[in-house]
Amino acid sequence: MVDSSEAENGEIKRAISMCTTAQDMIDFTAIKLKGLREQCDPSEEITQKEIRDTETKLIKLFSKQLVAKTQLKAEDNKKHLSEYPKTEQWLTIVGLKSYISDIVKRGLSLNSLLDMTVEELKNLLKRYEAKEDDFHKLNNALQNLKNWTDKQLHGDSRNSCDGDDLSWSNYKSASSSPFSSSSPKYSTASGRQSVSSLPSEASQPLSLPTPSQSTPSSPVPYIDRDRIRRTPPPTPPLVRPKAANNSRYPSTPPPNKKNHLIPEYQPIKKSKSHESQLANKVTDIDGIKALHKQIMTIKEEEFDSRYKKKPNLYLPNNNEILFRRPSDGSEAGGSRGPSGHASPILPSPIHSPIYIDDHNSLVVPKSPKTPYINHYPSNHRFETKFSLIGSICDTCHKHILLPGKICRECKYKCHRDCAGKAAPLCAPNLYLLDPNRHGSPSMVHKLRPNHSCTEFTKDSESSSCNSSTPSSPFLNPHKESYTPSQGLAFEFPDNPLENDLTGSTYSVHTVRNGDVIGSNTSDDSSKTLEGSNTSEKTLPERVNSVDSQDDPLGGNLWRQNSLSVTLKEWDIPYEQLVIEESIGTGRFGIVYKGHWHGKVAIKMLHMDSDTDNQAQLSAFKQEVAMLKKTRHDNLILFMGACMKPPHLAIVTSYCSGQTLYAYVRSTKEKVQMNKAILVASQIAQGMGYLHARGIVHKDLKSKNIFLENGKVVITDFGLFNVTRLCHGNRKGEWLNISPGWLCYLAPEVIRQLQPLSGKLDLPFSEKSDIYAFGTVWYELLCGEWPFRNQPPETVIWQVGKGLKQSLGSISGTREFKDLLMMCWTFNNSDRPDFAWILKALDRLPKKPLHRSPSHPIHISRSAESVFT
Amino acid sequence: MPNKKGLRLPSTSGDGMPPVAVPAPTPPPPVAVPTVDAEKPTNTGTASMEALALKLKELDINTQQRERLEMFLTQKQQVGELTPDDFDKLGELGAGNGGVVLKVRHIPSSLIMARKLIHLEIKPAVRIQIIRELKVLHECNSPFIVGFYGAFYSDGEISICMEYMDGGSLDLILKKAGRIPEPILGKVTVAVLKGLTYLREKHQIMHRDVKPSNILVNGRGEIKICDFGVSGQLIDSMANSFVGTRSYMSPERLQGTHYSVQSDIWSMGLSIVEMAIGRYPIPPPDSKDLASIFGDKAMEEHLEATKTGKPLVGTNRNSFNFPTPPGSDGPRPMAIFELLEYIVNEPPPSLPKGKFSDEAIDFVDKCLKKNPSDRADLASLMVHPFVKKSEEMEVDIGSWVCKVMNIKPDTKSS
Repeated sequence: MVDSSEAENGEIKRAISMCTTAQDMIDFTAIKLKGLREQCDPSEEITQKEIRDTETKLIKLFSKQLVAKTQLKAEDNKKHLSEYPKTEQWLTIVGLKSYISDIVKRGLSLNSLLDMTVEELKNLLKRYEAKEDDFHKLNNALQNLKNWTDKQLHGDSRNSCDGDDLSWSNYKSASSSPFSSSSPKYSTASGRQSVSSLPSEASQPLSLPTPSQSTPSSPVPYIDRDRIRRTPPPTPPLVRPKAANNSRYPSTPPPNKKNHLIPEYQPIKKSKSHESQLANKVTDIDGIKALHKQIMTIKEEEFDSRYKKKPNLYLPNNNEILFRRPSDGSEAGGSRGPSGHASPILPSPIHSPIYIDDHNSLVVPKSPKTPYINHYPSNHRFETKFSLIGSICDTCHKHILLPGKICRECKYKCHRDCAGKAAPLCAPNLYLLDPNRHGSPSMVHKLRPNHSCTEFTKDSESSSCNSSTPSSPFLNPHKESYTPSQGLAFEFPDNPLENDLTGSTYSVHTVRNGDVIGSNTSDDSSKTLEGSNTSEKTLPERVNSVDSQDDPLGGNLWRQNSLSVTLKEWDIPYEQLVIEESIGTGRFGIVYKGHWHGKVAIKMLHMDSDTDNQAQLSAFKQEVAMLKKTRHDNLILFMGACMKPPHLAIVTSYCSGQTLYAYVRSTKEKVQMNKAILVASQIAQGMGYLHARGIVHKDLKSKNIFLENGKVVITDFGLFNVTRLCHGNRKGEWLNISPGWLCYLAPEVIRQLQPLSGKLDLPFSEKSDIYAFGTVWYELLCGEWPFRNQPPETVIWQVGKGLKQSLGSISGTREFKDLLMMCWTFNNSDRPDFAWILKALDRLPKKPLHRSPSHPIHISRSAESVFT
Repeated sequence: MPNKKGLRLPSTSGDGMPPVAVPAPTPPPPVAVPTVDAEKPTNTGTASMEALALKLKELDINTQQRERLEMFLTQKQQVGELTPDDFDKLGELGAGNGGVVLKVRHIPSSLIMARKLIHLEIKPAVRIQIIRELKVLHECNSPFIVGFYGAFYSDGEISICMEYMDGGSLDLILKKAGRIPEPILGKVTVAVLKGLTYLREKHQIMHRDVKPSNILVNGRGEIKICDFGVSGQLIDSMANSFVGTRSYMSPERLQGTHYSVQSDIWSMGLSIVEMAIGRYPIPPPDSKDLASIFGDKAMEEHLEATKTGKPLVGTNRNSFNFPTPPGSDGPRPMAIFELLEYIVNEPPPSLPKGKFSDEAIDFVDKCLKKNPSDRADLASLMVHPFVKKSEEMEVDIGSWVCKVMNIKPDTKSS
């Protein structure tokens, strides 16, 4: 390191030479890394190791530049070394090609990136539609860089950074790099700390942990957030020489100056008040601060003092608390709301006495599954409500005529179809009024350092608390209070639709950075299944979720996290299956009868050998993750899956009945109307449930519907995507069309059919399921497929044009045909949903039941009695 | 060799299950063609030969064609019953709609055959019906129809054994030749017309699937059609169908309305245009494309290429590329629906003026009328000037095929 006492000139020179040398090395190493990534087989362990080493080297080199820069005096800094480190190169090296230009255009420097919180980074990347994967790469790389740099600067010993592995690529096994998992948070925290000129935490008795993505408990933060969202920071921008450099984002004034800028601000000894005031000024949410500034503005002693205090502040391995961006504070309570960057004060929950305050005294670990509420823009958490009928859609401003969606947090309401188009940011202005969310303010809850977190982690798929390590309570300063029981009673998002993206991001992040990971499980799911005492149980999950990041297809973090649980609970070792005779061939492979704790059906996926294993596996895992959430009387029971390639199989309960396909064709006469209605109602119920879960069946057809003693059992939902990877579905320039398939396809789907069947990105939707249901309804009425025996081209053209099978052969009254026509409506938005269909089915005229039970079986007695 | 009587008996009674077939359903191993078959050749062999000879006389064919037919039938009689184990696989000829076609040697007779395998998971009753329906092919003896040796079922697959045509199908030829010169195309047209006429007049069936890949040629200069829809049950049973980048289906058929043999004429017209310009003509090539395909001396090129077998300039994209939809901004593949929509709604394709004889242009235009009742019928096309001219023209198709496909001329019979 450069001796700061040296003459300025020498200092500059040295710094420059250091930077240029490092730059040369970076250039060279970057090329090597590129080669490794592109030309070597990433599944080779040796390649992975090589990449890790190279990444580590790069981190150190960049760090060198940062250090050199930092150690210069402020004035020199800019002038001479402004080009180092090269942000664009950094991004390339990290592996984010496509977004580079954008980010660079925005004038972000590497320093600004380094100084962003996870949340900000995430938001930033979101803006560029970056994938989660990219986010994690970047985040990890930044953390490592920060970490190493800090270490170089301050020789911080608590920083476990030994420089052995500073890599960020995904495929390293989590356990193999304990280092990288543990340190980054720490450094982030220190970064934040360093910025602050607030009184050190020594003066602060408050034990509130700063950060979290928890629910804002007071209205104020929203205001802030709104401001932030739309406009420049509410705080007057600091006039700092480097501000221009930083970015065009609303920038937060450096914390130390913030104090002066905020009129209400009173330096307070109690951290409580500190935080609350900071909370009001959480302005830097999107703001970007330059690391070099922070460093410059803070004296070495400050650093030192803070760092030295750290050991007291943080429990081992729990630094992530600091890392998290504090989301909000409650102004009302006047006690919370640290700015994430805030200060040394914020962090240490544990060792300080519990602060008890009238309003906000309680800090309870927040379950990761708690509805994610903070005042950052977040995703809506929609749920479907009938009560919305008649109100106005916030997206398209039309009346909602069918059950609509409403965001639990912000009460944003819209059509189901509009949910996807809804303003992406949830603005939970109203949720504060919901007492359930807050818990009673007067409740005081003592921190429960250890197990509380573990419990939450265990319970939740997306375990967002890295704080689950023993000594760190997952504290949420922002909640006004929770009773312990509340903590457990959190509404875990059970709806897969409601992707708590942010929450899961945290969790993943946590995983990567917590040094909790002990077992080398990588993606051997079955192994992870084994261990499961309470404390260890979380580990495999985490490991798995790390692994799941490798999933190239997995844009959805929620899914990734759930995958871990899926792996644990739903993996069936292939060897345990007793496979008997084949009972059919599906689009994906062969279906076998078998035994696994009783009779089961085993769908073996016949994967193309040329598709990449990893892609297969992850696509498959995603489907499995979805399947496990389906619990309905009319849906096949998913029992588990074999998830070790090449034996990919889905195990479900065995349907002993016949298919609806066979049933409607077996009886000489047409299916009796009452039975048709009964069967259709059950299908509609099962399908309605699937849709409520956000699952589109995509392949609803009579061959996928079984009748078991009169009960409808729907199978094969959601597997369509997997079939794309399956053998035999990709045949050059031919689209493989199985018999009858076309007549279930809605016009909007059929119009997109391409000869390249490998490219089956078809616009399936809930509405296309409705169309398919219409066809099933037709089969029930006519005992045949529509467009029977017509060549595929003919069907494609006719359906694509909106022509329909003539209904001449349909018996039954007009209402039956009307229902059919509703389902077959050309315009998909005009098609009803299953709730409507259920009602319509209920309204259909029913004939009095036949006296003679001429119709065999199939409809259970109890079911029949419905009609009597 | 089954005679007519033997054929019709099962098929007329065959709406239900013919009594003969009832014993069969229990798992019939490889040799699935039931006993019904076995007795036929023995009982009726000679009688049917005589009947056939009589039939051949009725056909309007020349001596050479008759001799070849008779020779084929004689060979076929020696082959007798086909069994799955009698074949050596020599190679793969292609994979078509729902099946693969192999070049095989029938070991007992050492005849080379084309064996089409269609994978079907069907009940025994159904496959027996299919095999029975396929027997109609035994009766389809024409110089313009690919000869049929027999069909059988084994291991989940229906095998259809046919005469091996060493030149392959016209879509393969097209790839090699770039375009097919007009004189050759004239001969092809004549053969297809005569084949369709034969099917219609002698068997009251329509082809349903006329397209270049279903027109085969050989080194002897024979042009024959194959793969016509003779078994409704087979069509219904085809597990999966495949839809590709091209459709030869007539507009009226696409629209699901009633269609007839006129639909075959559309398909033939479209096939002729494709072979003439070297690519699937929908959507039609623009003038730039045409300019790049055809030189100023298009007509001379045709004649020269006919003699030499020299490839003509085709389109830059090979015929398997996706047509670019008009006005689209890139090579986005056309959705199947878009293509069909084009066929139904847009003007039909035609041959470029000046690059083909007026007769050819007129012939194609008469075939490609979107309204089937405006379309010329088989009879009128048979006397169309283009057909007349082509019939009279002396063209050595055999040597052209050999040159294009780089095969040795068949010297066995000339």
